[in-house]
Amino acid sequence: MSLLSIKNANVIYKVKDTEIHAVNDVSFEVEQQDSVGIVGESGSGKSTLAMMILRLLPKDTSVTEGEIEFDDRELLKMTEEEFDKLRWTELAAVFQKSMNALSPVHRIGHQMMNIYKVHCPNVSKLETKKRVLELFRMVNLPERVFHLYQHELSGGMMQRVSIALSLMFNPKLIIMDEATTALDVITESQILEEIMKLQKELKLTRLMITHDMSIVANTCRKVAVMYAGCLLEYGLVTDVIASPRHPYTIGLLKSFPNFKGERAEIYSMDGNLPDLSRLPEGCVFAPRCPYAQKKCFTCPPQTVTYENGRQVMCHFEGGNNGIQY
Amino acid sequence: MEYSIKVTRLYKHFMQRGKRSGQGLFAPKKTVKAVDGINLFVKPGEIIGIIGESGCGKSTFGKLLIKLEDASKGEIWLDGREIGEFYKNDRLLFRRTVQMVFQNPFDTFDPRFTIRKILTETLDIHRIGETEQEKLELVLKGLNEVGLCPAEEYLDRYPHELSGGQLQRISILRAMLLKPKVLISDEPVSMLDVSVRADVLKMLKRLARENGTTLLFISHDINTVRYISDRVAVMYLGRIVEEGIADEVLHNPQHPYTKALISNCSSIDVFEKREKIQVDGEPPSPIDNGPGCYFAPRCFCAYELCNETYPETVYINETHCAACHRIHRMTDEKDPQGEIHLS
Amino acid sequence: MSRLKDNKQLRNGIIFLTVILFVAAAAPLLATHDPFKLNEDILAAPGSKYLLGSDGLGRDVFSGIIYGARTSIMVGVIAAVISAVIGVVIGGIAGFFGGKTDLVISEIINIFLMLPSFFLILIVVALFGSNLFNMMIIIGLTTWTSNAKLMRAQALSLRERTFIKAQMTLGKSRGRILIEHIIPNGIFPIIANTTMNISQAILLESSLSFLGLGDPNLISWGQMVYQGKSYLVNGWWVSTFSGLAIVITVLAFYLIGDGLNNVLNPKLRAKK
Repeated sequence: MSLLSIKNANVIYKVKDTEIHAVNDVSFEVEQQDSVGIVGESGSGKSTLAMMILRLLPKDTSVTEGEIEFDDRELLKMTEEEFDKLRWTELAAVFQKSMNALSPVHRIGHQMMNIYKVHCPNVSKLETKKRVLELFRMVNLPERVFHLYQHELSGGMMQRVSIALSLMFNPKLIIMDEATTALDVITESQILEEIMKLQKELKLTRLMITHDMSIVANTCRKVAVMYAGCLLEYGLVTDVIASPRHPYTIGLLKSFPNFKGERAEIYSMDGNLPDLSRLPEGCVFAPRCPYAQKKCFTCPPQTVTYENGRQVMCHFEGGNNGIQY
Repeated sequence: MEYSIKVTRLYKHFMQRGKRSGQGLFAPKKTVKAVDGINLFVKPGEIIGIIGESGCGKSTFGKLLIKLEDASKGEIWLDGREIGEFYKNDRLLFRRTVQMVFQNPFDTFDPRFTIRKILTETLDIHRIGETEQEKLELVLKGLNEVGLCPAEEYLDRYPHELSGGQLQRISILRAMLLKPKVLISDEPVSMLDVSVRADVLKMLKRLARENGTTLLFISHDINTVRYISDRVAVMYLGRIVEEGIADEVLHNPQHPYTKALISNCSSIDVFEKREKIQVDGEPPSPIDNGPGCYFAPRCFCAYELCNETYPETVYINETHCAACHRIHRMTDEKDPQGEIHLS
Repeated sequence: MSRLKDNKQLRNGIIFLTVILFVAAAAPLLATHDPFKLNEDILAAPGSKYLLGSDGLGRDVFSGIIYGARTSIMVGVIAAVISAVIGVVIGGIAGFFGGKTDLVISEIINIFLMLPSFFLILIVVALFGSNLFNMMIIIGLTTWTSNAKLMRAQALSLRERTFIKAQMTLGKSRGRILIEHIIPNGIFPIIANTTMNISQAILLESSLSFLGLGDPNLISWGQMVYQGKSYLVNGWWVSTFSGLAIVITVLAFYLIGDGLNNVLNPKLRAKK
């Protein structure tokens, strides 16, 4: 059964007279206890999609359409109050700089206890402290962090505190938006490792938003490749990354320098990201696609679904109609 | 043989304001040892990658080479000349000898200048090109060379109208216009989008090769460094811990830190299962490192000696060296504990 | 540009200023009398003959205020520009060059801040006579510290920006970098501050004139207030209207200065 199902999601930002199509007709489903990585470059709409699920988009400048069903409830039609109850308790998020939300002049543990009390006002002080320390243990933080201030923590520890905070109320779904991006290689891999362990223990469903394909390859079961607001390819990591079908995914994977084997020349994609306020008539990737035909420039491709729930949005997909790099 | 870059016992210590390491008014001030005794020799035309995590001093090292910072101790020789003297005697020639490409392309250019002004101004400073026409031609040729065509379209645009990839190309072009012997690039693609990174990298490599430029490529990304470099040096807390031919160091690392770093680096290979080496703790700040090996407190194979003295650099073969006590033991056959193998 | 229109303070300030500038420029056309002429009606109340009344020597207050606008604006603008130029150069050098230069200059700035500038002005005027030229120079020379402090802060932060570092690696001399990059990119707060300084200079000039240290050959608002103060009981209009003129002009420059500050300062802008 799917926990989160997104149907025809659209987000349009209105800035003065221009309309920016940040998310374009995105549909996919996330099953219980699954882990899905959303990869894309800047401007691909991956973060906007996360904000849409969390209902954090600015109301005056953005228009959202579509349906987002979470645990059989329609998120976009809920009232503010209903959604507030859901936020954090069932739907948690970790951002790149989540720690900025904490006060720099109060001790970490103290703040966390206060946050806990907001949602569970009837729990005793001792219980609350126990819960906070338990959270620290879960994310491998030493107990002394309880008495520290924000500026005394290193980047890795800060992100661990953010994760501990998001897990406070045993959420069902956790959204991580570039949560490990600013960290060092070793710290990043440690935290990712811990997250995967926690996911199993706590039976979490995880949505990872990142620009780094390798993180998704290593830590997620499914991957959604976004480009210029469109979901170009979606499916199991072992399918999509091992044998990509969309020309964008193929090109992207080819542009990574490899670590093993011969030092092969890397593939470079032509052109730049499209202007989101003037989307092309046809496929969004057509101007940069080496296999684009006439059809690609004139009519937008349909999303086709294949085995294992794999989705590909390309005219010439399926049997790789002559696509070879 | 003349080295293109020769660095001997280079130190850069920053005094921390107000903070003292001990109690009392007269305790010595805390120093941050950003670069803590680097030796490095690079041949002309070679591409050397510097790998390290943030705070390891790799950026400071780059700045020292181009004199954006002055060294506390040690010598740097570029193209056979000591840079202190070099700079004093002929500032412009020094600038033409070494150039730099910065990490953030969005902040590399004065926002009020057009691309035309930015590029011709560079030629003006160094009196390259006799007439305006000649300068313009050089600029146009350069723009085409870095893949910005039609070049005329870019001339009168402002930096904020261009994308990161385009700006980084112009930044590389500006440096290459001076035909430098040494080019330093500090994380040149880390702020670019994934789909344009490959192109910029390829171009940087091609230009360096074509002009015979020595390229010092600073990055935290092992895969990128492997792609571009002939040799790599791994830095940890201000020191080079391992250095050698790129594939040798990366596929057969000797220093435990290099091993840990590589094992923790994620790859896009879905089926590959790498055994990750656990490293304890956070990377410490380069203050008061103690007498022993800087990596010892986090090392998975440290023993008593590691906490007592800093290991000497040991050559595994002619081109590959690392600074670790364990390696020393391995090569020293008389040592009874020599059987401990690192693999 | 739309931000310029959106800012109410700035818009009102500019409207005020345009009116004042127009008055100053068209003084001979607008004035009903010769402001120096001693008319027969002494201390005439505001009416149809003397729009804003006449003073104790029979001079027309309305015409005086109109001609006085020229003096005030000239003193204000020139003094503030002198102060801006000195401040930008000194502050820019201190911030950009740093090190010992910065230390020495910062101390000099502190010394100037400690000086009671108004008394300094009094001494200079007493020593060298009170003509307009002296007054502008001395006001400029004593008020540059705020500009210098602003420019120094700007230079300190610009110095760390990549494009300044890039210019250094290209081989541009530090002097050229200061003039071509640091100052043009860091000047906005000084522009805003300078408009505020204009109003301060106008006030200073008025204060000096009020103390009787103004240029006796010129009509100035401060002088009018000063001369009117002895007739406050039976001729309130003399001091009141010239005083009002000062208030309005100062307000206009203040509004512009504050508005510019809001528009040009990205931090304040983001809060909106």
